[in-house]
Amino acid sequence: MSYIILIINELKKLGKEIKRYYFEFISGTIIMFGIFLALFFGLKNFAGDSLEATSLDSLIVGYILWGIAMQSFQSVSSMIWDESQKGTLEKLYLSHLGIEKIFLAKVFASILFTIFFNVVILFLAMLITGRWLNINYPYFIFMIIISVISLVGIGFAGGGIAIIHKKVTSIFSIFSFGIIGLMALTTYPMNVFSFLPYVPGAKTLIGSIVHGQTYPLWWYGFIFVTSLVYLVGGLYLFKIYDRKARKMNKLGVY
Amino acid sequence: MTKVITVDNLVKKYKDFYALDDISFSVNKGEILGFLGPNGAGKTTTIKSILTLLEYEEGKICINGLEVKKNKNKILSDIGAVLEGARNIYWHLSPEENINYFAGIMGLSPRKIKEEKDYLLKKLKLWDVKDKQVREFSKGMQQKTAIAASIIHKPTILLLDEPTLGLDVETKNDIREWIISMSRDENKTILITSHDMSFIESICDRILIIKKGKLLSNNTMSELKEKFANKKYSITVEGVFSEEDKDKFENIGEYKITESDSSSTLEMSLKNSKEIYNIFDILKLQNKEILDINVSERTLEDIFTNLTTEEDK
Repeated sequence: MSYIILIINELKKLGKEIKRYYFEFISGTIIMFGIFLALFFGLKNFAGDSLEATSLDSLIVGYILWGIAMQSFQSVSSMIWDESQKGTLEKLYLSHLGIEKIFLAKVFASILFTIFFNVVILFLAMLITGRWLNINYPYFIFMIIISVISLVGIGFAGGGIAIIHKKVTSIFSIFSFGIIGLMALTTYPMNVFSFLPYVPGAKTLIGSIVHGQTYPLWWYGFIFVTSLVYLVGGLYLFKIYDRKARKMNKLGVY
Repeated sequence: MTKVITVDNLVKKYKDFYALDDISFSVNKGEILGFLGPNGAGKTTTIKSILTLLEYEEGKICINGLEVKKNKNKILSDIGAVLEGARNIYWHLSPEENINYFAGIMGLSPRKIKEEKDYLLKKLKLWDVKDKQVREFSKGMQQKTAIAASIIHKPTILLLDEPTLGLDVETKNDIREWIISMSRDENKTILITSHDMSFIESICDRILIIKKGKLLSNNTMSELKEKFANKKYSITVEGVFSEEDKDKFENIGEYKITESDSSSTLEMSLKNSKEIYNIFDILKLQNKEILDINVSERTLEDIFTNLTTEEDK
């Protein structure tokens, strides 16, 4: 029950922030969409007729998945940075529900919003490019959630570092570009790259939506369990850094 | 009396520096305990240790008999804390939104806290501005919002770190009244740190004085005054005091002389008021004309200065 209250609480706060800083939100949306259009039409014009239709479809889905990945990965550490700046980080630590629960709820609310936002972008992208993908939305959301859990775990590990060092944007920059490269790897059938975070789920989603591939049920279970391992590992690292921060009196420092 | 907060032999150190050096004290139910000390004395470190925001090396802190290290989440549900600094709340939200948000953080839905929220907004005189963004407020109003957001879950223990820092007299009075009513009417246990001696003197049942991580004193206000019962005498005479006079004053006790163009003022704290006659004898011998005599009780500030400077010696 407390999780539901926490998530609704965060969604309400997010809604108020969007309303109060609507210019930032609208301009951010326009920029994100502008980049996508530049990529899409740029690729189309450069490659001309030699470009396969599935490549454009992959670009549409890939761009959305990349956006969600970035948001999910950065969420915990950017939240910690943001709360430190505002001076409210210690206040969150005073909840008897525990900081991990508070951040999990914050991240979940943020991911819910990101998914909704990106589904709208996806729809707009299909509308403007005229390429209508056959998307099973419940499957799309299910796949994103089970894949994104791993990034939340990595985000928690990064968040732990952020509690002590506050700004960790350089790590994000490496990851932002790194994940694009990782998407080129083959993750199915099972190989060493299948254990990477997020990538197997994202590639499965592209495979299903763009190429119409089917996967066995155990594969989805595997993605989910791998993601959970990353989440638990991330939470564990967060706890270690959190304890270190309490020892060093770093919670209130920004 | 029931002990609500118990701190035993608390030690917090950063490498070789002791931020807290074997601190022990307790706070009884319904008591207002003042925590005084110069900057860097260890007041905030103690509060943060109680709140589990800081991990300490040695000692034990118990809240209602439960050790905080082992029962972190359990004890936090019964504590409301306003931490030092103005940014305890979200400036882009209104007081009402802040209260709702921090209630949510404590797992309480807005429906559940409506009555208490309205009560606090009225009690802390925020009702008329409850929909305005906190960034538009004065420091005092922001502090009141922080207080309301910190106690919405009806804790029985309040930890207030410098709640009156930089506030105007009117807001300070509002906060003073509120703290007293919390203790008197609702029997809440309150631990409060401040640099404002008169504020502490006016509301606290007991006062702790800390310096360089060490506890110098733990007494009620009346115990402190009794312990440092000497009165402060201020005698203004015509002309200046000679070196011979100064030597004689030194034999009586510590003194301070302020000289102006045509007169000098001698200030002394005397444990035995009869010692004033010795001073008169010295002045009589020198045939000094007394222009003014002032006798005053020692304030908490005098006691605090005395204690903390004694520690330096």
